[in-house]
Amino acid sequence: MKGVSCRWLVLGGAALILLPFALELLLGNGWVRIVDFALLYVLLALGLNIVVGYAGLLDLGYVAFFAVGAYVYALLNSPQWGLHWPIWIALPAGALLAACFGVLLGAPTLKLRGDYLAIVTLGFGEIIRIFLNNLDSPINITNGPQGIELIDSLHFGSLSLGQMHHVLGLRIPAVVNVYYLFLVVVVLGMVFSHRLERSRIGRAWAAIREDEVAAASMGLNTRNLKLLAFAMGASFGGLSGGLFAGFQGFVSPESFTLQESVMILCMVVLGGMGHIAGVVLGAMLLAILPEALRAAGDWEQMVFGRIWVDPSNLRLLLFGMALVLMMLRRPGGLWPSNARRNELQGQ
Amino acid sequence: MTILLDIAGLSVCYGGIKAVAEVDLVVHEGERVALIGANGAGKSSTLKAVAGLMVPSSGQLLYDGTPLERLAVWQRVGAGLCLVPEGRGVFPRLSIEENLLMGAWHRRRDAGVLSDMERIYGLFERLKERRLQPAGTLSGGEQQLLALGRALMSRPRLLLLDEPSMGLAPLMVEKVFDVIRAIAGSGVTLLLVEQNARLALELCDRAYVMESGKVVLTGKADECLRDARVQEAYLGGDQS
Repeated sequence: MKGVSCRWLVLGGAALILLPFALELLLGNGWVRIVDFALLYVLLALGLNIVVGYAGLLDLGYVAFFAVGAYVYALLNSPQWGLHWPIWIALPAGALLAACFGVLLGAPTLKLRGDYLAIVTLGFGEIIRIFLNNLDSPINITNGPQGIELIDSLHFGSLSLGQMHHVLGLRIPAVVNVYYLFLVVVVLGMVFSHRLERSRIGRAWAAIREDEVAAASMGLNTRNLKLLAFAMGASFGGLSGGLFAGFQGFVSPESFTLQESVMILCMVVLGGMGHIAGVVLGAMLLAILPEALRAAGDWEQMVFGRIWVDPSNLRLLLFGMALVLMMLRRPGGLWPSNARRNELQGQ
Repeated sequence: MTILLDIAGLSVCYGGIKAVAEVDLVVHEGERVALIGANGAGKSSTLKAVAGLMVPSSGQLLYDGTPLERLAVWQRVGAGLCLVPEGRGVFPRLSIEENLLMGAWHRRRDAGVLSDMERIYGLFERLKERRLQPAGTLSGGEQQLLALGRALMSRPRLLLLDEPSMGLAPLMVEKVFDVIRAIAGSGVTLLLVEQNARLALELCDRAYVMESGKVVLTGKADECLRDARVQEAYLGGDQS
């Protein structure tokens, strides 16, 4: 039994390592890039899962932490301030500041639950975006709606991930370098989430999620535990944002709209709240499917000889239908945790 | 007997509405005290104020000689004050074992936690058989027993019980009260809020009767049982 799972692990690992080369050969570089972004979404979804899935705090402004991380990296690694800091400072700094913002959001909302909390967090997300949009005067910090350009690509010392490298005669383009970095971060994020879920703190979050009054009467410091959930979740968002800025080379407020927050929440819910594998699956699907559906226009052309529905509308239509169907057929998500599945079957 | 809990002039408000008005109540070490009354009389609010789940608008709460306002909610359990909330409040998706461990939250990795758990499993066979199942799969009565077991895991000195008989079948109520009696027998002090006045009065040494936020009667439990007003209002007339 153990040998079998070990073999799967090795096979899966090898597949993940070879994936970018296969994609590049079969579908071109653009698809490696799409997978890179999908990995960032996975990291975001893992972070939001801590807040929503583990601690049960509905957060509709999660993208704000992504924005904070992205702008921290951008400011520390661009001509904007003339700074070029190494990523082992810039990325943790973004994650840390995002965590502080997480506490800042959490503190005034400690007594709110469910819909009310969702509304405040939604407002918070918008506030951050609007701030980024307007902090170009009186002192220019964020460069306003124009955003920050010419951000240094992710680099370790003199080794830049933003260029093509040749290793043993193998061409490794920038998107593939970045893929490996993101993959490592995502795997670490999954391991961390897994450990967290089974820890004393994870159990306490579950208790607060299930019955806050009972949890408080068991002597749990619900205030600090909820703030910790916000901070932990936010730090994932901040880290992901830093990686995004270094990869994209450009950040502007319009990348951090409410729609992104909703999308990340959909990933968590669709995949299976509180279940790491489910969340990863949800994020991958929702990040990649819309891109795949771009090709729908060609198919329509082929089958009907003309385009009946604009592919971008079709994407949204199918997306909406998928969500409705899912909620009817699999209310626990595509891949819920065992406990949740049993519970839903019992009802 | 030393005084363990001393409530003086306690008032609790929900917005503008006074749920508890100037209540004085004393619980001695090792004593079993019942707090009875109709719906909305302010019993639960009194208990919640003691546990720290509600902030009193006025009044002095002394626990073992120290003012309770100095202890945050999460420190009170560590001091031996444990509330079994109304409606049991087990964590339905956590396993029975995890529920019990939550009770020992403030004790961290105290070596006694595991032996206490074994002791509680000894009391409740059903819980041991199903210890890895989610608590939500237990019946209402079993959940109440689990809530009691979980509270015991905190090694309480003063156990605050909020309506332990609520929504339970008569047989199960009997069982739950047997357990409560056993807990009291082991030296834990009890403050019991209960609508089932007869059960509460038969179990306890002393009683307070509350009506619209005020204590209207107090005395020995057996005297209360015979009191004409209590019989009229809570025991269904001249049955006894």
